[in-house]
Amino acid sequence: MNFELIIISFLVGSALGWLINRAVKKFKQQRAGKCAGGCGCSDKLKPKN
Amino acid sequence: MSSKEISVALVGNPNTGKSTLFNALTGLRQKVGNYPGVTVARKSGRCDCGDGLKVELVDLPGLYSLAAASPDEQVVTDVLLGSLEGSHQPDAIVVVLDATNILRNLFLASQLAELNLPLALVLNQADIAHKQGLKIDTELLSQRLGGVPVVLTSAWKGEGISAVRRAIAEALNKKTKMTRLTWPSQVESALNTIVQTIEKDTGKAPSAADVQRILFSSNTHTSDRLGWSHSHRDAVVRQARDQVRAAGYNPLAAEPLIHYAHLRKVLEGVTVGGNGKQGNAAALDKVLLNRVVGPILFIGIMLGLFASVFWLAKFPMQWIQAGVDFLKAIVAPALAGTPMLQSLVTDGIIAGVGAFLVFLPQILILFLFVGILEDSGYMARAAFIMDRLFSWCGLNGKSFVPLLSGFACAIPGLLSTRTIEDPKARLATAFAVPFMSCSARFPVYALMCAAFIGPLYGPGWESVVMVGMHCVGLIFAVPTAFVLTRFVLKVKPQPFVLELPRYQMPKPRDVIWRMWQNAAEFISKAGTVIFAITIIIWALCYFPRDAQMSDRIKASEPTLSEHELQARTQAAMIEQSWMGRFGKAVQPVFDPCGFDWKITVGVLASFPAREVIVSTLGVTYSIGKGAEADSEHLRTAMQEAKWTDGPRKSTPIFSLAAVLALMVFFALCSQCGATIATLAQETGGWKWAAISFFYMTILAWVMAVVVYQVVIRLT
Repeated sequence: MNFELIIISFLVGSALGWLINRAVKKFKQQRAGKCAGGCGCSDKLKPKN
Repeated sequence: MSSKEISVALVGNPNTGKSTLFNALTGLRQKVGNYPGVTVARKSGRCDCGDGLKVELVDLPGLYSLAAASPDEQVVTDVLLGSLEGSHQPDAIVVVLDATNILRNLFLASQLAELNLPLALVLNQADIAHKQGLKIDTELLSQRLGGVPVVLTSAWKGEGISAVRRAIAEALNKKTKMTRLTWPSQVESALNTIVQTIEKDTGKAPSAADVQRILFSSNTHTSDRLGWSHSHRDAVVRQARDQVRAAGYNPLAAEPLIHYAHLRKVLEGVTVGGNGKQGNAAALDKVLLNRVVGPILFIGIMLGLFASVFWLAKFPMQWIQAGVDFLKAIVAPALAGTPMLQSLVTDGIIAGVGAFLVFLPQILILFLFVGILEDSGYMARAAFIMDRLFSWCGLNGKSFVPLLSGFACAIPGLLSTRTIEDPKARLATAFAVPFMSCSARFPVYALMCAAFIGPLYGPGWESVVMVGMHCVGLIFAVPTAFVLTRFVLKVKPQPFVLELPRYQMPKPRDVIWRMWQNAAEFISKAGTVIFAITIIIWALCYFPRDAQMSDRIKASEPTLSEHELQARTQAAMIEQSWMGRFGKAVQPVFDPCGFDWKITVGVLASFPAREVIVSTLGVTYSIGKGAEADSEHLRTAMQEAKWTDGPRKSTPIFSLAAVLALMVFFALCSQCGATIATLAQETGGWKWAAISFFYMTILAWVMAVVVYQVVIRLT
């Protein structure tokens, strides 16, 4: 494997990893009742009753 | 108590300028608006009240009364009563009142007095009261209300902010409480009946505010919260209400009547003058809210808005394109020794991100105009005009604000459905919100209009198509809502009460800030998600590479020139790439819509976020072109793209039919992961989110097929 291919693999892997990590984080955020979007909305509040 | 634990709630009627005051006090930049529903959840910030006193200021959604009906109002009452998860009861309340309408605004303050918390009153919009010739004796008002601090402010002008800080400090230090009204004896007796029964049943004495909610409100939320659900509860409440009736009041209307009678006495001599002159505004409203002229003007304003967006953005877009081309011209030679890396950087990252970033000026100008329309007070009038349409299709009149917010982004739109009391109407509105043409669809329409509609039919048609595309979602949302509200959910029609804000000159600082927020989000998306996706799309379009491809083409067609051979090789390479193979495998599904495999790839890549199609097309049409490809290349390449096989061989891929079908597909398809997640969150499960996804996606495909097949036959 040449050096160029190593760099490309690293970049593609990083991009893919970052996207997956972001999706998982957002999913967890949404499950915790927080905003899942990126539109500047605030956290959702859950009334006790 | 340490200063960290002190919290102060900002409460008031909708549209009294709470968020503006909150921003002025905390230095934060919370979204403000002049129609109800902008603040749908609690937001907090730190406020320095002087002398080392720092408090947590909590901005709450606006409400008219403590008798909470909708989820956002419920949030307020729960925060104020300290019954909200993760929060304690505030140490003081700042009630924000509209200085031009003190009596009506004081009703809420009078109810809040029953909470027995330190309180301060802020009479906001004092500049307008002054303009109307209204003089307010704040000292007399303070005296009549038991010494609570009363200050005049004009938050949007930044006037009186220090006085508010001092008032908060005074309320906290002196524990200033507002005088509570004296109930007529029979009402007092009715309240006592409930207090005693609850105390006996639960072992805890309820607060005065809670008991009043039980007596005067038709819902059982408060008694449920107090754990008072004993079998005799209804009988006790009925008996107490009979006592109220005996005093000559309707139990469900007694509270405001008694409060207003008390407040009228309080306000005697406090306000002088104020003719409420709204002559010009009334005349303007007669025109803007006219049944016939109003909608025509609304469409005219929207047409003008989009035409201006195209016209004004033209040159800045060219500058960004020039910048992208310049970057490419520098980077390409520097990476000439590493062709794979050169292709990734120029064909992938620069082409993909550049194709997306080019639309920044249009986004900026769009939000500038929307901000001006909102701040001037016109958007609330638009809500009033649109209410006629919504009430016809069975949606609650309050649906307009969520739907209007949906035009910027579906997520805040979905969150603001919390202002709707009826859960069924809320669900129907939440289902309709994703149909609204959000700003993520804008680059898709803009690309198609600039590449095909403008050059083919003239620049005027670009704005017509733009308005048309923004209406497509609405056209389908209305019948969908009609069926849903009338036949599935059976929503009862409810009246729409909207307080029209006064007309005002938009404040440049707020408009520019909102514009900047949207621009920052757009740029951040380009630098993160779009950047990462373009790298992956590039890799899928680039690999696997067949080193013998060029030789094989040369062997089969030896007469090809060097340039032609290179072009044919690149085309063959991308077709046999992973993305090419996948696109070709799926393309038959989208063939009736007139989409080739590259568009198909773009459509599929856009399911997590619809704007991804622009960068995906940027990459797929750029691979192999390297430094030769400038930003204009995407449009040119799309204009020149032709079918290479099948019955449409040698005809343009991007025909008018295909372009319109693609735009209609994007107008209707459910292509936003965050929206689906928020819909699930707001509807309390994945059922409606899944129904919405499949319904919108199938509808988008069907309508794209219809549009393509009809237009191709007509042209």
